[in-house]
Amino acid sequence: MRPCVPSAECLATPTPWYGLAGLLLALFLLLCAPVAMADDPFGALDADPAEWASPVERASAWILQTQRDLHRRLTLALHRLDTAPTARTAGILILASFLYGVFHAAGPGHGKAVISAYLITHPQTLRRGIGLSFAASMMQGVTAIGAVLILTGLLGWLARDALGQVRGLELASFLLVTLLGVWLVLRGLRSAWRIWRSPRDPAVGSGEPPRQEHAGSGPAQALFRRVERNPNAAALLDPHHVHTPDCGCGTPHHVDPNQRGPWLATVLAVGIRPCSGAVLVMAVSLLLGIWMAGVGAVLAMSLGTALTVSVLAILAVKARDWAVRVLQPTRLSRLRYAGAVAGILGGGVIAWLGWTLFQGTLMAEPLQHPLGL
Amino acid sequence: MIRRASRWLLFLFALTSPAAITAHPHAWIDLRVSLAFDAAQALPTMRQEWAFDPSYSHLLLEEIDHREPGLSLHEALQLIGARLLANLRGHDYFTEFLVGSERLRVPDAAAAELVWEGQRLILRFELPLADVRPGAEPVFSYRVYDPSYWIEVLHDPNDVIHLKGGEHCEHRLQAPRRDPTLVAYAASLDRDQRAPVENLGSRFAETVVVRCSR
Repeated sequence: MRPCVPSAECLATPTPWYGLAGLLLALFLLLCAPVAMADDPFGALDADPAEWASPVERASAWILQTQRDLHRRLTLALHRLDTAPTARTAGILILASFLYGVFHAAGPGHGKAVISAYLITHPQTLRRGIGLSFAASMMQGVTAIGAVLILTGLLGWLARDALGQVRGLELASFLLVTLLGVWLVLRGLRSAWRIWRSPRDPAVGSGEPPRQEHAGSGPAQALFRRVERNPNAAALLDPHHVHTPDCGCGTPHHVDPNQRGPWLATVLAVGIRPCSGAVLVMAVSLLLGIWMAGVGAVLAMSLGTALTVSVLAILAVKARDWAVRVLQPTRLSRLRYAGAVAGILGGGVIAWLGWTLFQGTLMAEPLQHPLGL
Repeated sequence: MIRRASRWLLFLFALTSPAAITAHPHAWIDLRVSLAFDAAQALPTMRQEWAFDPSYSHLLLEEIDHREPGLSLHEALQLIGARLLANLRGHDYFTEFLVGSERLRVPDAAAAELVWEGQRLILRFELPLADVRPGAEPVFSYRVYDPSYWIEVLHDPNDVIHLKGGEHCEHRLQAPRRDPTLVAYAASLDRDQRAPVENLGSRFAETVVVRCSR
């Protein structure tokens, strides 16, 4: 039997993560705290801006301003590329698009909600979590490019009408998210059924849970992991099972191959909905006859988005790891169904999210803007 | 430990709140305003110039070319201009006037024209004001914004608000107060979504206050 070789990440102290999380949480709570919203819009008219702006207000104003600047820069660069193409302008377009993706993804979004809900309730390695973020973000960009090239390039639609088609893809995405959630619930139920059918492991439920120096091998770890149809199921429940060199910190070192289906389904459900900003850039570049510039800009944008979403994915995977580690010495770890219940809850949240978004979008009729024709 | 765990969970819960669906204003207008006083120090008209962003300008031109093929640029501009102004009339030209806290009725636009300059559509028009006489109190103020916030209207940073003939008057441009909850909320709207916050754009509108010493 080989001792577990923890990865470098395992050895690193986890404290910075908590510090970062605390900071982000504090920021988020401040952002969400109900701010007195003066009903009289002119109420603060004579006040000096420096007096009323709280640090959070200034921070959010800065984020908004940066996002706006980047959006303008990339739009102007795209049009300059049309009138006077230079390598420098192309570089500015790509860089502005990339940074715009980074900032734009910092806001709330249903894709991020689905990805984090999935990662926090289902066992995934850090690498697969990041891979999920990248695959979903890049697919969003590819959908935007594909939709515009097909609708306006091949079928001759108006750019504005192609932009309106985002709604159709949005509805498809929300429906797929709902189905993904239902599927995850069913998988969780099946997993629970299998645990119920399987003979009880002697280590589970005994008065003294075996405590290990390596967090990944405790019974809680095993229980948070799906055991169904896994050839190593017995080994997972055995605290003395053999570890492979790449066993990770708290994340399951034997990722259940059955997670591949939900992983791909998550990428599809999230990635099928393009960002309307990306569709706009693509449609306008095609209109100007410089569609390659649009493709470059959209891909750069997606890469920026992927970067931000990955940070969220890392937080989600780490949070799950950490919850597993904390719960390990508690009574909760002896609950055999913990993993299945987490899976069912996560699936339920995702299904609910998808369904409410689907209904909301279906109800909201497309609005005719007064500055349309 | 447990407190940390709950913090983590709370944080992730906050991130997964269904205030979802990304985007924000998709187009922008650079606004240039000139206010001309008459000899009696009253404000007879407000002149506005809207420079649509190049992407939106191209979209409008493409659409008119598709609907009414064969038009010259001049004819196309006339047609787009007429339609935009007809649509905007029902929305007060996105303009709001206040004298003190009293709202003025927005009149019909006059002397309107739409031109094509430097890859952008420029819409110019005048709003006749009914003899507004700005004083020290009450002050005269205005805002121009798209209520749905699909288009962001801000004063052109490279331009100034022209006060012609108002020797004793000064103006101040007040940036909108950024309510962080609304910033997050606005970021969650998509163009096809009806804005459930009534008049969302007003929360992000700039206000210009004109104050005269006489």
